[in-house]
Amino acid sequence: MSKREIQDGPPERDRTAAVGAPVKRVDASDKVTGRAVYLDDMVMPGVLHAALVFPGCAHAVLRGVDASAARSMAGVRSVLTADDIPGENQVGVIDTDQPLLPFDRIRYEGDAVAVVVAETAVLAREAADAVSVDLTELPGVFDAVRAMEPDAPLVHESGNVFLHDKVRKGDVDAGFDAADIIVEREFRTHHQEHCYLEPLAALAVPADNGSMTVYGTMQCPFYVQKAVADVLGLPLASVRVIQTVTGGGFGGKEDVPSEICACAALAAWKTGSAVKLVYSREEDFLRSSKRHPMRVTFKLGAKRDGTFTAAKIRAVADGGAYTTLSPVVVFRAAAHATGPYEIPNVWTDVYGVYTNRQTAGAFRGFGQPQVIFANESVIDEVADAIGMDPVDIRLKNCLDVGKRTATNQLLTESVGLRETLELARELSGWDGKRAAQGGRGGEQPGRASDARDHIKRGIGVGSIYYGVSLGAKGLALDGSGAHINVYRDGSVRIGVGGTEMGQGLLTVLAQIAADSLGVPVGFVHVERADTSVVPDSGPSVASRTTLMTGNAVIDAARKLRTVMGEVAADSLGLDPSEIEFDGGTVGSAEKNVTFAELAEQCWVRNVSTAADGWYAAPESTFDENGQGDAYAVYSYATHVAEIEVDTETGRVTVVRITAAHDVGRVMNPVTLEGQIEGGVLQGIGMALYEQMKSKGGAVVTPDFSTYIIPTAMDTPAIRTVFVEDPYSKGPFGAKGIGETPAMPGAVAVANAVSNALGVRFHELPLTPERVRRAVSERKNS
Amino acid sequence: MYEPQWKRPTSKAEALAVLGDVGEDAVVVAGGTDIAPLISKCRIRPRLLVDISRVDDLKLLNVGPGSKGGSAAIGAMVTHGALARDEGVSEVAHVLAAACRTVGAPQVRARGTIGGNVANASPAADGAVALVALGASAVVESDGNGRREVPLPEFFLGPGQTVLRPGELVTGITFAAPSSVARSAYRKAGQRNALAIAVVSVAAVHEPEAGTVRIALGSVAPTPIRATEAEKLFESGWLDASDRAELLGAVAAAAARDASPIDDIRASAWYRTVLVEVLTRRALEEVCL
Ligand SMILES: Cc1cc2nc3c(=O)[nH]c(=O)nc-3n(C[C@H](O)[C@H](O)[C@H](O)COP(=O)(O)OP(=O)(O)OC[C@H]3O[C@@H](n4cnc5c(N)ncnc54)[C@H](O)[C@@H]3O)c2cc1C
Repeated sequence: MSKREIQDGPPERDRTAAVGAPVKRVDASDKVTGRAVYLDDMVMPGVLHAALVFPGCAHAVLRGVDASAARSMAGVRSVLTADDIPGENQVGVIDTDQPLLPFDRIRYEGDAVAVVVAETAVLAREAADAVSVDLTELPGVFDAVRAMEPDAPLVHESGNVFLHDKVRKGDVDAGFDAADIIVEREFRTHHQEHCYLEPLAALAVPADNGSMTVYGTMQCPFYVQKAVADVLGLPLASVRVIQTVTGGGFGGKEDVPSEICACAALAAWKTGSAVKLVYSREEDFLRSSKRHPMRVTFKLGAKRDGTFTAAKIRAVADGGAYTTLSPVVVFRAAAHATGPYEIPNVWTDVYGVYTNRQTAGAFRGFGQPQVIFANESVIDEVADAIGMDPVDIRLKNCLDVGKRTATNQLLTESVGLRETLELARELSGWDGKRAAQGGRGGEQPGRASDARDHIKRGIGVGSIYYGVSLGAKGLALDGSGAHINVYRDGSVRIGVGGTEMGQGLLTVLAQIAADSLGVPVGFVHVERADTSVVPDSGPSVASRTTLMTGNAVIDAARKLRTVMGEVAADSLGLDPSEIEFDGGTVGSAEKNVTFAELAEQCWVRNVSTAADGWYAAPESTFDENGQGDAYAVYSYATHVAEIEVDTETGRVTVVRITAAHDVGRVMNPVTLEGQIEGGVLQGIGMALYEQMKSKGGAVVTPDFSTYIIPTAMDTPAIRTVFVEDPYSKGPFGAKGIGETPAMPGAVAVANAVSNALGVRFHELPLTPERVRRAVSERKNS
Repeated sequence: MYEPQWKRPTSKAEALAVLGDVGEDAVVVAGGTDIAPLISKCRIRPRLLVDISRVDDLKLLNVGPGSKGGSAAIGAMVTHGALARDEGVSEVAHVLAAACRTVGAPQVRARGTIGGNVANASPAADGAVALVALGASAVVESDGNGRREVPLPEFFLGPGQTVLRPGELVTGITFAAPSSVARSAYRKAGQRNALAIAVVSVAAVHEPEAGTVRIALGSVAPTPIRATEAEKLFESGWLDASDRAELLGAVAAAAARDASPIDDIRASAWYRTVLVEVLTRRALEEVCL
């Protein structure tokens, strides 16, 4: 029997063959050759097509929907409104304030009031445009701070402020009294869109005995299963959800797919036919959730030697029209608002506020990138004021084993932050570059055609920590399953509840399974998530899936090794304790069988070679004062950004990003690097380009020609480096990587621009116009 | 249900005949890079599409050392990619090759045509701005009314508006090739490095012997425009300027006054004015100093 028991912590390094190796993505060739079947590629005879009816206003009383013209069009099969819903008209994942199809009130531009079903997609769209909606428009509220005022229009009767999380640690007043320097600033960030390549799409197929099968591009099949069952009034067992090849998620496919899948399922239920619903990019932008815009006031006190004494933070998050995932985002922002530093006295308030704007929900980082922009900017201002290097001030205060977080959690293991700071400093050449610029940004000598002194160079840093998985406010969801079936030829098929969305999960799980069973990766096939195979495994979000599903795979593999090991021991004449699973063979060095032979022996003896695995997150806490062990473990990262800014046009070019990440254990260096590079670009997008703009609740950047994301041509050199400080409860020591790459980059870039220009920025993105304006204002002052 | 008709002539004569027949109902499709997004977003619903992508006699490119000082001709169906790569264009009309290199991304440059760029009449059209600086005219032909050459500033009437009448086709572009000592440059500020519509663009063509410059501006007026006051200032002072760099600064400032930009989703009028001055100065420094 192998010693790889998860209770014993990570297995010995030398026993891993697949884990840690640059194993080729199992889905790579299907994707690059175009064989991968995305939802819209699925063909099914007799499938009908749905389209949604958008009244196109942000706040109104809904008086009626007249679909008579649409219904009379040839080829139109059905038009469904709230009245047609057999179950609950509700898709909110945490709160029940979000109807699938509004019946009395329109609360934002993306609210849809009817589903039109027709023989073709074009016809469905035309018929949807022929539906008329009777509305009385209401004044709306489009700014979260305005929405908190007593006379603001109400988005929901219960009041606009729907969330307030706080952290109270120590005595902040005493902390500020003890400070030699205090800096307080207000920061703003805006809606950021996920921009996954594949827009939302669903296919619902009525199945036997009134049950429903739903296919879709998604991160969380169990959310979809619950939403569809609620809307159709079916037991969960009658709803099967199968995740299709998913072209990106980034949080945008956490809860939002429940809406499109429930619409398709409702249409399929009503018509008795399979129904497909695919959003155009514009519909996707309109209806999908966004990163919360935040207004953050950050006050930090420090001693002259750089020691932080107190932090006071107030953040207001614009949640949009419905609660969706705001509770998770607000909690996470509150718990992490100080950044990864030990600060003895902390007072944090984070509010979630309704507005008549698009819903804000999960987006890589869950509320943290916004507060990080604040904390990491203010730290640089404090460092500047006391004449200390930004990396030094971070090293002076950074979390470490034995230190306490803002929630007063004592960190006991796997804290690699210091190493990420030191590595990023060294590999970026920080000290030399900072010195060359005198800490104030430098001139760029001798540039070709525009040879003037208008190009300035800057270098900046950002550090972050991220509580892996759902933490104290998501414990009920925090278990995951895996089902392993070993066939008689030794091939292995694994069913999971975690989802592959492009991040490489299927590959990493195959690696984990291969090493846990001692077989080559090629033996293992991991199936995309299907709700009929494993128990509700929670969402694939919060950097939790390698950790949670990976541990579930290890648990199932451990059970299989016990059962199969006994058969091996019996047939080889060994004691079960002598049995090792390694390199595709089972037994001892002298006496062994191949894994395939053993599988055949089990089959002959009628011994089951299937097993279920389960992993539940350890206990975590967050009391009414925001104190407790909020998350089981944290991932850490530091990014250093090097930029050039053209002071005449305001244009910022990111030249190089050095990204150092503590991941516990590298599972696959290639997929890990891919995760980091993608996150770096999203960070640059947030820093320089991205803002989903709206006027009076109407989106004015509805497509890729107006909503600007970085392209390959805007991509800097990216140097990634990993710190491995293993986590005892992680699969092979791994923590999470999903979110962290998108978190420190934006502020590192902003700090670099400030370094170049000697001007601080308090609002993102740093568009050329905003930078140019700052240059003018500095000249004038 | 909307289902447009589709015609695909294979010669200029056939194309003109088809257009003459159907008149107002027809919409020309060249590379389709402007028109296809409009159709797929239901902004327009043309009943008949006339696809001229197979009309080989609109793909001729006659710009090269031989045309220097003489006249240069470009068929309407020549793509941005072809213009960007062509050595003759780079030598004789560098500004046009440089402008075409900034269009969209490789896929868009492979399909998008110079005729479409001009006929689409966007104030931000990169090719069109370069052509205005080259003093180019659109060659307009029709079945009944023969051929006319319309100088581009007169061809454009406003965003998406041109002097084209039903049945008329832009068959090509023509301009007097700059002299062999002329220098030209293109400067564009977009929101990112590729797939970027110009927030401001500046094209400049300098004739050192004549002491003249032609400056065209994009995205700062309803159509691509010439910076006429700036050009006059240059012409009046260049040949005997004592401080040429200073003069270029003054010309650039004048160009900013020639512009009449607006606030839109991409930038404010204030920022565009700043950019006109900066980019004009840089373009002039490149071609004059
Ligand atoms: C992703 C993307 C990025 C882009 N980036 C840029 C950019 O950076 N810079 C830029 O300038 N443009 C850009 N464009 C716009 C477009 O590619 C160019 O304007 C291109 O030159 C249009 O040419 P086309 O052949 O595709 O025109 P089409 O779309 O075929 O036609 C455009 C219009 O002109 C008419 N037309 C076309 N040819 C003729 C003709 N010979 N006679 C009469 N009428 C005609 C059509 O009826 C239509 O109204 C971009 C487009 C896309 C989709």
